[in-house]
Formats: sequence, C-alpha cells, structure tokens
Amino acid sequence: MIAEALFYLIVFAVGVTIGVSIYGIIVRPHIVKKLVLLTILTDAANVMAVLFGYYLRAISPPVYPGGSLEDFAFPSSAQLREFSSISVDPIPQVLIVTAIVIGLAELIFLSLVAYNIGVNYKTLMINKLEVEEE
Amino acid sequence: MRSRGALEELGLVLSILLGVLLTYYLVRADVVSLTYGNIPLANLYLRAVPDPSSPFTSRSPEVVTSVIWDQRGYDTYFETSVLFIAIIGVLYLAGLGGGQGNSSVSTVIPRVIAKILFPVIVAVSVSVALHGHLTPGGGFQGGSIFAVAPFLYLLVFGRRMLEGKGFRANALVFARSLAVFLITVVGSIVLVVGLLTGVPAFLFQNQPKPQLSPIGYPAYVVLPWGGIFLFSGTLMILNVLEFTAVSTGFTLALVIIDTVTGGRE
Repeated sequence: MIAEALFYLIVFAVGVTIGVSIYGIIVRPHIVKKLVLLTILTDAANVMAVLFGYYLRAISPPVYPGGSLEDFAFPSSAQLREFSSISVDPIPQVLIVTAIVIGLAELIFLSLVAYNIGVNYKTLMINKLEVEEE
Repeated sequence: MRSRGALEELGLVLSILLGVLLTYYLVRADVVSLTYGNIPLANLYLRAVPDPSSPFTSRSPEVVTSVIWDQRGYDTYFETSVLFIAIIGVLYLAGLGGGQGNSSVSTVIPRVIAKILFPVIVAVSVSVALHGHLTPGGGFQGGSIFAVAPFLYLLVFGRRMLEGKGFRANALVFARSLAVFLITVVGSIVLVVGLLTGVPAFLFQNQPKPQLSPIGYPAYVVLPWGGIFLFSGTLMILNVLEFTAVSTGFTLALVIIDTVTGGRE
C-alpha cells in the first residue's frame, strides 16, 4: 500500500515537473533559463520512461545474477523464466542510456550557440534581440 | 504589466494541469502499472540474452548492455555518430587554439580534494566500463563518469594543468575519431569474413546464429592455467571503445567551452 502510494506520488511529481518545464521553455525569455529547463524536461522524461518498466514484483535489475569475469553458469530455461518474472523491463533503460548521451551532446551545442548569441548581441533575452528589417 | 503577470500565472496553472492530466491518463491506461508483469518484448530479451541455446543470445548476464550493442547495434552506432557530429559542430563554431585565458588556481582545500578524487573517479569509471557486460554499467556510463575528473581539474587548476596532464585538444580529437572508426571495424569484421568465405553474416553480429550464420565472435577464451575469461563477444570490446569515445568527447567539449569563454577570470 505504501509502495503503491509512493510510486504514484513519484509519477505525479514527474508529470508536474514535465508540465512546469514545458511552461518555462515556452514563456521564459532568457536563453540560459530555457537551456536549464530543457535539461530538466529531458531528465523528467527519462525518469518517466524508467518508471514504465517497474512493477511491484520487480526486485531485480535486468542483470542475471552470478556473472564474473572468470565464471558464469549459463542458466536453464526454467531459471530464465523465474528471472524474467522478477526483473524490471530493460528496454526503457536501454533507450534512456542513448537519450542521455544525445541530450548532453545537444546541451553542449546549444550552450555554445547561446554563448555566441551573448557575445554578438550583448543580450541573452529572446525578446530583446533586434531583427534587422529590409 | 499587470495583465502579463496574470497571463503567466494562468500558464503556470495550465502547465501543472497538463502534468496532472498526463499522470492521470498514464495510470488510467495502465502504461504505468504496478500489478502487471513484464511485456512480451521485455520477456523475450530477458530470456534470450543469457541463454546460450537461444539464437539471439549474447552469452552475457547483462541484458541492458547486450541490447545496446548486440540487438540494437545500428541504433547505438548512429547515436555515437550523433555525439561525434555534435562535437565536430562545436569545434567548427568555436575554432581551436584561440583565447589564452589566464587561469588562476584555487585555494588549498579544493586542490587537495581534487587530487584525492581524481584517481578515485578514474578507477570507478574504468571499472564500470570494463565490467559493463557483467554488472550494471557500460561504456556510456563509464565515459560520463570519467568526464567528471577532467572537469574537476579544469575548475580547480585551470586549463594549463589539464593540458600538462595530456588532455590536449588534438590528442582528444584523435582518440575520439579512432574509437568511432574502430567501432565500425569491430561491427563490420564478421560481415567481411562472411563475404570472403561465402557464408551469410550480419553487420554488428556478435554470437554465431545457428541456421542463419555459423560465424561470430567467441564468448569466452579458456585460459592456459584453467578457468575462463568471459568477455561476451563484441560487448566488452565495444564497451571499451565507447568508453574512450564518450570520455574523450565530453572532455574535449569541456576544454573547448573553457577555451571559448576564456577560462576563469
């Protein structure tokens, strides 16, 4: 009961975080604030993806126990069925590993673009950037 | 001014409402569910990867790393390329070699802490990457942990000290390009051998697949003094290469950003 309540509380908190960061990305005019909120949005979406793979009976990470560099007893199919009934879903974790690295690459690129905007226009506020009219 | 503030408050309330609705429908549609077990796709991966008799096996206990490098190898290769291209783009935007900022040195407490923490961070990251096919972790995770250590040195000692340690931009670009190239070589070598000997093979193939392709990497080697050395085919090799690629890429990006912004004033 406590575990369920905590789980739904986490899902709710992540949902509100996603909503607030979308609001900030759209409304806040400062570019650095937009970047910070974009990072928060990415992380919240990743946490949400990991939560998709969890259920109450899942007590094991998606790693079959007992492996070492010197020895690994390859499991039988009955052991594998038991393992897959207590392990969390590995696919969201696979997806977010790549998503995190892509998010970092994107953040590096965007922060350099923001730096160039700050150097060239002497402001980081989107609504103070002047548009040259023909 | 007053109406704009009210509009922003309305937007905040609406966005919180969006989050609440998102949560409600995810729970309502059982996308986030605590009572069901795994979906069939997850069970397929969880049962096939450690099982040596399955055609889709990687002979590795770690399902996540195996899915990243074996079952979804193409996806991960192009994702590595995205990181590579992003850093090439940063290099193009920034230009190298400019901006000799005078980097000042911190007080004694950060210096001592950084010197103690540097080998610890490096050891943890190498361990996470080398055991990526056995325990939670892998090349991406290890590389991301490793990038913290040069960042610490950059903050505490400045760029001059980091370059004295061997983290020069040219060497980093070289290591990163070499790692991405070797990932391509490791992924395509089975296909090349298959083409030369006339047997079917796949790109990014790891283990031999019965009835489809009889060739592949070995899962372990038997050591001459007894016992085995389990490296799960391509998984450990690609983890080490990806560790090199990610750690040098992030270090390079940090060095470039520090160069462009002129270091700590």
